[in-house]
Amino acid sequence: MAFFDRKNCASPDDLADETLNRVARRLEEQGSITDATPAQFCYITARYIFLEYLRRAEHRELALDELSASPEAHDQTQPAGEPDEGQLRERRMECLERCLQSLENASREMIVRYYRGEQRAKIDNRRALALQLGITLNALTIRACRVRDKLEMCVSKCVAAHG
Amino acid sequence: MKIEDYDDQTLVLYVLGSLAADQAESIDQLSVIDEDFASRVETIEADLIDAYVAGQLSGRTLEDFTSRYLASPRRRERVAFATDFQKMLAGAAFTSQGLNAASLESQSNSPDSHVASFHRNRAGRWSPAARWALAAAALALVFLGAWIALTNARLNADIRRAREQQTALVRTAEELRREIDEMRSAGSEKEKELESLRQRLAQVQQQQQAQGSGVRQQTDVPNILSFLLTPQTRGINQPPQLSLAAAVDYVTLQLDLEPVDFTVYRAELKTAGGQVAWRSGRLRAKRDGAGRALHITVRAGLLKSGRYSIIAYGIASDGNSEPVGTYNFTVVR
Repeated sequence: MAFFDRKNCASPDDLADETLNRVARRLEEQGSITDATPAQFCYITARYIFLEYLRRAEHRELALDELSASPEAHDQTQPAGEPDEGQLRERRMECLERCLQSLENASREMIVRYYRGEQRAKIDNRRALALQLGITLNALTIRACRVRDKLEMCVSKCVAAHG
Repeated sequence: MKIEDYDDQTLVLYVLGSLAADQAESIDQLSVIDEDFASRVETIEADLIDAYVAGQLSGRTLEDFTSRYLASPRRRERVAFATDFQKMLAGAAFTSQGLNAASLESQSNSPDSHVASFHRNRAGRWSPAARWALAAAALALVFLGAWIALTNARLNADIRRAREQQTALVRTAEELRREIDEMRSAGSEKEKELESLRQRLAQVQQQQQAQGSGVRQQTDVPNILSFLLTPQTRGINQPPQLSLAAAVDYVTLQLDLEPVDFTVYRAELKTAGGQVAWRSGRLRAKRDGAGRALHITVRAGLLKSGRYSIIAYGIASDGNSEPVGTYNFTVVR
């Protein structure tokens, strides 16, 4: 999904699903994939799907500039029936708080401590946290990234569910 | 190119979409097939978002971020999450860039109520029962601390008293030991005197037997003369006269004591010239009517005609002697 999103595709989730579907179909048809590693095969499939996406007539006009200049990107008005920005922000914060509470204690404490502090203090804080957990700074960063992703997904689902 | 050939700055450009196509494609492939590399790119992207929200981006990086990165709705959502998350962690402190990231579509003038409501929610999470329980626990701790302090002070005072009592007992034991030693030495002196009297008696009996006559009409016991002496006063009275017959063997002198506070005494017999003719051992005063008196016995042979003085000394607990009375008398033979 990150691959398609970085390519500024309009529906990176759908394209990622399509990629996985095609890989699964190929496995069903052939039984195994021998000409590439699974990850490489996924990448190749994703690349083909991206090229198809570009070739499709309805997406060819949406260049990067058009996408950034699209009404959806900078719409100042509020669509009817949808919550205003203030309400949305309130809901996001509520969802964030709820999602934070739903984390395991260790993960919650880790992610809060990871982002505590400013600049130099933040770096020192992270080093101390890595030392306390008995892991490298790199491993801590990866761990924090995963918890953050989990939080983001949780908040996104929560906002959508209440939206 | 290998993974290690891509430094952080290159990956920032990749995330911003500012990299050349061939380099970007290479990184695309690596980020799909290599999990660690994908994590690294994701971390750089998260740090970039946080830097933008904190207002730390500038120049070309800021331009590319706002024009390219924020072109995607999904990435705008990521920035909104980062803004909310930083607000939650840091309270109400956020930059104008963060505000823009949170609401790209509009500039809101409404107060930042969600942070306030977040803190209200956090404060309201403590139920009244929990707050009362916490207050009760704190009060109980205070009382416990005070009780421990008082008990400690009382125990210290008890220990101090016990030590003082122990010291006093040790001192008393030392005094008693000293008195016992003195009594033993006095007792041994008395024994010596008794032995001497026995020997004298035996001699007399032998002489009697040798002479074959019973000169003495009295019993065979030594002839003892008793005399009472009172302490010398400032008066001009003559000292008492002691007539001493040749047949007297011993003279027992009763020395009336002034009211003094000693339990152990000693006495010295001095001649008119100040020489000490005789010394006693440790003596104890005996009740004599309303007062107390010392009783000393000296051999009559020591007393020639002349003036004598007996000086009585009280012995203090530290062993020092203090004169308590002088008894003058004259011996006439």
